[in-house]
Amino acid sequence: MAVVTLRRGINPQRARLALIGIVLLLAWGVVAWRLVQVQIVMGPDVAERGLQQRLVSNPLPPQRGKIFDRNGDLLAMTVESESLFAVPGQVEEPLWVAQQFGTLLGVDPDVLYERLTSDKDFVYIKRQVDAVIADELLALEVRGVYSRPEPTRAYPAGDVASHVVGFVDIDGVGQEGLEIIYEDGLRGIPGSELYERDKDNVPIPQGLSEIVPAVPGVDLHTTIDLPLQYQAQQACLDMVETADAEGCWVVVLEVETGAVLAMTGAPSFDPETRQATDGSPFSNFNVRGIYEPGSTQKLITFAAAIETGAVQVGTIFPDIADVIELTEGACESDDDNIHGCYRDFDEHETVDMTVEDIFVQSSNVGTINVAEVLGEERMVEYIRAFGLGTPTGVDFGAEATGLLNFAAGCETCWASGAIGYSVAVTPLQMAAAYAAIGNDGIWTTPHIVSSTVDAQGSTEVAGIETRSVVSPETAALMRELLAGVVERGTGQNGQVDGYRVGGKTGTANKLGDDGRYVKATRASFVGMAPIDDPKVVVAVVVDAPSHEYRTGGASAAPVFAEVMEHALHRLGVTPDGLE
Amino acid sequence: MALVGVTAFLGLVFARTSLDNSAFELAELDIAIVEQTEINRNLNIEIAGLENPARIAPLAEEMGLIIPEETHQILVDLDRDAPQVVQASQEGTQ
Repeated sequence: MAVVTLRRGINPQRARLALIGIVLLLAWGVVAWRLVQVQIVMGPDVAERGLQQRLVSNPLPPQRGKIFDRNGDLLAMTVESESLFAVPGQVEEPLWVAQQFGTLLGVDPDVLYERLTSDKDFVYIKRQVDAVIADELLALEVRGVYSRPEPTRAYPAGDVASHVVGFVDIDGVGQEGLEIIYEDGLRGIPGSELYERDKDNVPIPQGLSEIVPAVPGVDLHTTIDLPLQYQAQQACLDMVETADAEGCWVVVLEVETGAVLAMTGAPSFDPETRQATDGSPFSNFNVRGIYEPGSTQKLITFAAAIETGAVQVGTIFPDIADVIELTEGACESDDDNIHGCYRDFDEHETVDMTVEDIFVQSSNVGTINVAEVLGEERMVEYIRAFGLGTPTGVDFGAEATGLLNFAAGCETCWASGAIGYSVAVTPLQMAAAYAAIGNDGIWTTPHIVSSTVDAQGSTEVAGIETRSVVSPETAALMRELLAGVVERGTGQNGQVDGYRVGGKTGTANKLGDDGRYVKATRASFVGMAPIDDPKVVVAVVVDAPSHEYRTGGASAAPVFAEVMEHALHRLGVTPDGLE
Repeated sequence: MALVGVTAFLGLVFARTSLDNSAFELAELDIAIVEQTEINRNLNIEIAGLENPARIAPLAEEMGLIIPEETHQILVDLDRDAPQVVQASQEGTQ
């Protein structure tokens, strides 16, 4: 009876089941509590931590803007390349790697070996390698050698356009030419991408993804005509070789708009390797270099004299000798650096000369007579009005101002200035001054970029100034005088078949390091065509040609003629000089 | 009822799978676009390099093409019904 009672009171099986049930209930309770804690209480925090582990953020570099010539031909563009690098600790055979990679990549194997055996964690083997070559090297599966993509700037026109386009450094930042002037626009604005990835670093489809696209840099459309730029450079290179000159520089301007059609010279440089062809500096002499223009300056002296009414084209100056002495005793000294003695280039009898004769024969003595009538104050006023002594405002960095030396107390500076000494100009300044005569007396800011293009469309470049310097009548008279120089004066080597051309020669001795004149010259020629309605101005400066070619007529004029002929043909200008 | 439930479940699975496949295809297309864009850029550079006058001019010269030393200009009056030569140079002066 007692047993029965016991069985009824505490059934062991039921007790165990109850116990298990309670334990399971507690366990499930704990799980449920933990579930609630993780999913609800800690849920947002844990989810956030997980997301952060999966999320990866990368910057999106912008595509640097392209640079085109006036015909849409590419001058500069950014493409992807591969940069090869190594983790020195992982490279097992550094000597073999240095020899193989160094030879194929053009890197000094000794330098590479030194890098590969250094205690650094990361060394470059070579940056910005052509992707095909990089792939071939990576196919060798050398341990410790890796690559990563890196943009590089390509210049398909090579050294033909390098003086204008400039170049970027290894990190793609503009250093010279248009690349630095338009750096802010060309660079673009970086973007970013944020996405979820799996453990293998693969993006998770349907995962979180936020992309802020990079804004590409603006494209530059320049006024440069690449074929003309090439012809101009070739003409310069040929003359440098023929005349054994130190350099040669050419600027071609469109008269009406001030557009720079070509701006080049020799020596040049390769913008991709950033190496000058002869080890000289990269500087563009057309914009940065200054020189005493010599007789090409006479255009301004005569234009000022005619515009102010000081003289007329037919005014006769009697008894023009081949030498004039403004400082007593200056002509008795053999030292050319005693200022105050001015001579014509060729000896001649004392003759009466008209203003036209003086200009066409490029008489220094006659020009000084004209300048004396004009007066220093008015002459300097016109020199400034023609843009000398002031940067032209061309969109090219670090433009030289030039020099005007008309200091008070200098008794001969006015005479020197009248014939192109005592002033120093850039070839571009002189080209712009001549373009004003070609453009009926209107001076226009030279410019290289015509428009910038971005996603919003094309934007014309602003800031092109125009101003009247002399009247259209004076400009027309000056053009006739310039034509006379080419037809029967000192510039006959500047003639262009089929066109009536006007221009002026210039020959000026260079200044030595000690500030005294030396025998070497800078020979120049600036001219325009067709002379009745000029479309193009070409300015040429040949630096230190040999004695036979020391004058502007001998060395610069032939370069001018060659470049001008190409320019007129390129622009489709109708010949006006058919006989 | 169960059949509807199973059908709905399978439908959801199918839709999800299709969506994921599309996402993969989209990702592959994005990669292909980047690759093709880069190939296009490189081809543009190659074209520009091939068109560079500094490359073409010497080749043209090798093939016998030269810039003529003597040039002839012919002016044609296009305003007439039958265009006529109105002036022509006899010989170049270079």
